[in-house]
Amino acid sequence: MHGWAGKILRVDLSKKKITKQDLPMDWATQFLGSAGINAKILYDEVGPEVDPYDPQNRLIFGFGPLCGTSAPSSARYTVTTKGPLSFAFSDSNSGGHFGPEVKYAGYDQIIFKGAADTPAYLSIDDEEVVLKDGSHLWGKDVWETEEIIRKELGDPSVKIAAIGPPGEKLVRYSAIINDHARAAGWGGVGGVMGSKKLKAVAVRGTKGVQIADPVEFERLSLKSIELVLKSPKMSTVGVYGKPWLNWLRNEVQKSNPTKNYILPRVPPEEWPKVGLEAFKQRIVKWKGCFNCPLHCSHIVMAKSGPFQGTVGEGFEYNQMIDGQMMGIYDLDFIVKWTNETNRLGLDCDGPAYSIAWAMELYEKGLISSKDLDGIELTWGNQEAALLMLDKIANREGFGDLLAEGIELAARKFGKGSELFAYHIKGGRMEIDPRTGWATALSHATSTRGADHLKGTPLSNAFGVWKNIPYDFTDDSKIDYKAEAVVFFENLNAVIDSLGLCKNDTWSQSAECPGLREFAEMMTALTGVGFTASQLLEIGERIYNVERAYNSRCNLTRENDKIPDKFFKDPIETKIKVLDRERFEKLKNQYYELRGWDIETGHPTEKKLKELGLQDVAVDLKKRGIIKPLLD
Amino acid sequence: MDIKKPVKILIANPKACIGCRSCELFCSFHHYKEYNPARAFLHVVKNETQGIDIPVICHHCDKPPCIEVCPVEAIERDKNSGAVLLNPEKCIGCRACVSACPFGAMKIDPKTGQTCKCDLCSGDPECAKACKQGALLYARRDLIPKIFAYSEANKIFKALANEQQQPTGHKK
Repeated sequence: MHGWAGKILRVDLSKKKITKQDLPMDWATQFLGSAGINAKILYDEVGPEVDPYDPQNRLIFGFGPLCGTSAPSSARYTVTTKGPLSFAFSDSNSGGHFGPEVKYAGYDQIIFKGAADTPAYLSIDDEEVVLKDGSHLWGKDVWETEEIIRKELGDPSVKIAAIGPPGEKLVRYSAIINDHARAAGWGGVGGVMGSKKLKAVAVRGTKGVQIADPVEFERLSLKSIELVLKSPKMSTVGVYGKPWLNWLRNEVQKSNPTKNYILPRVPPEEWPKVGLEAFKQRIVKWKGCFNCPLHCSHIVMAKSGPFQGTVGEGFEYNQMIDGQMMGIYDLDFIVKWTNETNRLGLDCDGPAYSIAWAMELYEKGLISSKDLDGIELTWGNQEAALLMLDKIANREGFGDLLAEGIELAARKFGKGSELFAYHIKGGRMEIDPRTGWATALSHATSTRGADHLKGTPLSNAFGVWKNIPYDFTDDSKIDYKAEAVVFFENLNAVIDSLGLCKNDTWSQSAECPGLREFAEMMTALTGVGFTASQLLEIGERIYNVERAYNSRCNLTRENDKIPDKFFKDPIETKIKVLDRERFEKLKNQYYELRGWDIETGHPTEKKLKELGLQDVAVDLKKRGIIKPLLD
Repeated sequence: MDIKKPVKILIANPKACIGCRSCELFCSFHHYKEYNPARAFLHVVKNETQGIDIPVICHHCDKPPCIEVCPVEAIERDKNSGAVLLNPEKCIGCRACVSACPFGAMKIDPKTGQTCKCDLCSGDPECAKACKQGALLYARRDLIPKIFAYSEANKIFKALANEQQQPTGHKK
């Protein structure tokens, strides 16, 4: 096989059984790989009755066909599972060097099922795949785990993805961390790994990726790299990294979540402490994922204060927000926070947003330091935030409640706290939906809860594709918004399934490689002909499977909702505040374009059949979720 | 080796390396027409705790320990390009060169098990072309210090220019 490695690795942790199966060619052509094939497997193998932490849940790692090739930023892999935050479809995506290494070892997918009796880790050395005892690693943090495994396997460059104590203790927003500081952080995949008593996956691959037409593929990939290097991304994210996006949100779009959304953005007097200049002063050097010409990451060092001299990798867009959500305007703290969450194996935002919610409880007098073992959880209190982080990681005291994630924690705590627990389908909100209509819609319809990387239009690619004028930066006009969101959801599904990063593609810049480049590269790589529109249809198919999975988990149109606050409190953005009637109309338009039922939001039999998803249609009909077609 | 000859040499600048390993990727592609960094002739060594990445390359040394230590003269210098080349026909697989190299730049191919090394891609190294960060340079030996001096000075120029000018941010 070319492009695809051609093998799926199945690990039954209960039975300690490892099997390999051939990658079915029709899966590859219909779902591409990575996120797409993962979604298909999850749909087929994990029913709605399975609890995310039940051994019957699957933890699926996927590595796309372009992953590990010379296509720009070919580093990404996707972990898919039934998520412990949304109790529905969940996937999470990470970069670094782990993904390509698994491809080189010869696998497109790794599927974990069951749960080990005692902690274990999986060692992959090309064909040699062994489940090893991990008892001595249990309780160790991610960085200690990496070090011990490297020594044990005698390979200082073995690539490792691991969980820390929070994953073991089923903290609902635990991450899987690979390559020291890259995280599959979304949706609590680390907790599912912990529930399976799987501590880590260590891999060494020497088989490489084979190419159908090497000369043509190299030419095309170099062309794509040139596109990235010439794109405006290089002078923004390529210079300032992701903090450039924070600048854009705070200073141009005027929405940048602060203090659990009490403030619409970082106040002008605090901005210099967290803005681009402050960030630049902490940069030590650039850092890039595998084969990335754009390199959005940096090695950073804390400049002063208690964390002075601390070195870490960062910052991501969302990491910058973590501090301000807790009222902390200090990038040196962010170096510490990022390091701690990476070391512990937590999604950096999960604890930040939960603590921010608790700070509001504290401010409103709903909890006191007595409930918090003496911690004074006031806005901006760095020490308190770090103490609370430890309590969350160990599920101690109030940390045990916060470890449940914002939605469940508020439901358990009650006393009206649900009103300021901002989430969509259990996912914390890192972008203010009042930024604009497409932002709001895409956050509501995202299959994995509030999220800007599933369908938020972050470039003018929709306009390029449809050949119409489209300005994504003006999110105030309602024209095309539903259509653009559908387009971006499908496009992003393609990119996640190919194994590329969204940062330097159409997803975030219309000048970067897009569907046409992907189709050309895929054709030369695999020898299977792909066109741009075919790829987009595959994206639609994938998105429908994800949606159908959620329909089966009882999520309906009702769950595609934005918290009430954003319909009530106006801010300085162009649209100021969401309007309920307009928003519901926009949703109608969206379901119509999707070919889904407007009342329920479920995919229809007609649409599913059109996409060749007869099996999904039959399943949903059998369960009474969708009505049979009336001929 | 006549070090007065202005031949081109390959040199690494770890300070500029971002650890993306494009060099390994393109090296393996050039030699084997597959994407397989494990077979590349150079290797980016990472210290993730400190955030340091060092490209370990063959320096094609002026006094190569690998040539000195080879008992069967399987490693020789190409008189024209100055490259230190290993002849697989002559190599007996004793791996004396692997331990003699002070950098760990001699390689053992995971597929064939044979000792192998960088051949400078017959005078046009793919790694240097693939590196967009300036961490790998292939240039005339006497010009290398100047190239480094200019790239360092450019950073200072930029810093001075920035002092007078705030970041422009969103450039369309």
